[in-house]
Amino acid sequence: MDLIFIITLLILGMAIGFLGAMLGIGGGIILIPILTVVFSIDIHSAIAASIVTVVATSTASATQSLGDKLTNIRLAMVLEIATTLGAIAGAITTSHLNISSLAIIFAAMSIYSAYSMIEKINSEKAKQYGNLVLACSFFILSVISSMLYLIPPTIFLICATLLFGYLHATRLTRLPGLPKPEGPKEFETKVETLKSRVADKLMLHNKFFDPAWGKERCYKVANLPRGLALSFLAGNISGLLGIGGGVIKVPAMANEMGVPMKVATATSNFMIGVTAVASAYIYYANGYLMPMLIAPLVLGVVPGSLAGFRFVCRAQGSTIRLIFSILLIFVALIMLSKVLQCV
Amino acid sequence: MCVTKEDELKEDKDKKECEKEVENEKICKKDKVKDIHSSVRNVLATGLITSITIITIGFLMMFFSGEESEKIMPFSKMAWSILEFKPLAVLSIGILILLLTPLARVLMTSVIFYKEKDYKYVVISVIVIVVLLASLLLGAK
Repeated sequence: MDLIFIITLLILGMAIGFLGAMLGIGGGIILIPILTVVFSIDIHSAIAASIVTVVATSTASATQSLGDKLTNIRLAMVLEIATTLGAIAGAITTSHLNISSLAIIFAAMSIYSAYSMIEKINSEKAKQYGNLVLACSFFILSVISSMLYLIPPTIFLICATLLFGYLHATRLTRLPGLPKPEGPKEFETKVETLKSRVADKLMLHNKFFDPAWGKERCYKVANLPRGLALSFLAGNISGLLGIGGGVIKVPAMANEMGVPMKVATATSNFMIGVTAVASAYIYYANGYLMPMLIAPLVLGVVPGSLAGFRFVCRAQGSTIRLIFSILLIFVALIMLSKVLQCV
Repeated sequence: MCVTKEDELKEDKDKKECEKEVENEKICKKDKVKDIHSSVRNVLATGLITSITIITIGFLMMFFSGEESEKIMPFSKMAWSILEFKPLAVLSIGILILLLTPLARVLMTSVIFYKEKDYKYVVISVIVIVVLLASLLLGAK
């Protein structure tokens, strides 16, 4: 083994872990393109290596965030049923998909991640035009993949186009009776009216210490079936692409189920470990795990993410998020060029 | 955690809703076992430290023995090779321990819920364990 190669991987792992923990996104979405494009590693092995680093990152940061008692362990357990099933399905699907199909789905996912980064900077504008932009870009991607006769990603991308198109349309023609989702008061009433019988029975409602209030605050969990469906999707994409899937889980919990943002982030991160492991076992069996690639990455990612966790507060600035979202769009373009290269 | 400007602005609005929150407080049920978070945390920390240590040892052994291996060792070979203290076996078992840590965490939560006599959640934990074991067995094939 080349010493320089190992040291590069170690530093790469540290950087990925640091950025991932600091910005609250899994490092996989950056790690896989670097491994495939710069180190020219087979995409399946890159996905497998990434999923192991995701397990390490999630475990390391869960040991930190569990101290704050923000994690809703009950909610995590319920949603994990859906995410693990989705992850197994995703991991089995991956081995049947070719490189171009995976790369194009990956490009779509990094565009979505870029959107979720921008949404955190300016949620008003992102909500107004974000879904439309997403629908358009997914449509373009679906046209490209249909021209290359890549059937599974085409179906996936058309579904995504329709979903975001629908979200945009429903936003434009919001009924006057429906409450606005923005204000905390309206949001509260929205959550109150949502059905939560199952959640009541499962005692999912909990409380957390809100530093903005300086006291404990209660919250209710609603819309469990929709949350389960989105968790299945998140698990599926996690297993398919070897990423954490927090970009889907956090908005699903925060926007659909009425869970406070901080609790959603902590709970999502807590769930990622179990989700990633479900698909990692299958990658293990398929022989995609490369120990000499994984070891330096894991050894770098753990201290990196533990350090990054301390800088979360400094990463609130919009500049760093903007740079990162541009980087993610760049990643999407690189993956697209890889697709066209293979043809 | 962080207190941003947005949070500060929200604070005023939120204070008006304090009364409502008091009502909501009735919905919240206290966890009977207070240390659920800390015991789960201990499981994760133990698994992480153990696996990192073993991965480091195995990695250094691999590096100095100059052994080249692309693929990880399958389950079936591992039991014998670990007795012979082969570098690849040590490294593989380190990675395996890392991958088994979340499973141990789910086992731990199921035990805690059983102690709490919260049988609904014992069932939910067992479902997750079964799914994970199915994936593991699918892997061991």
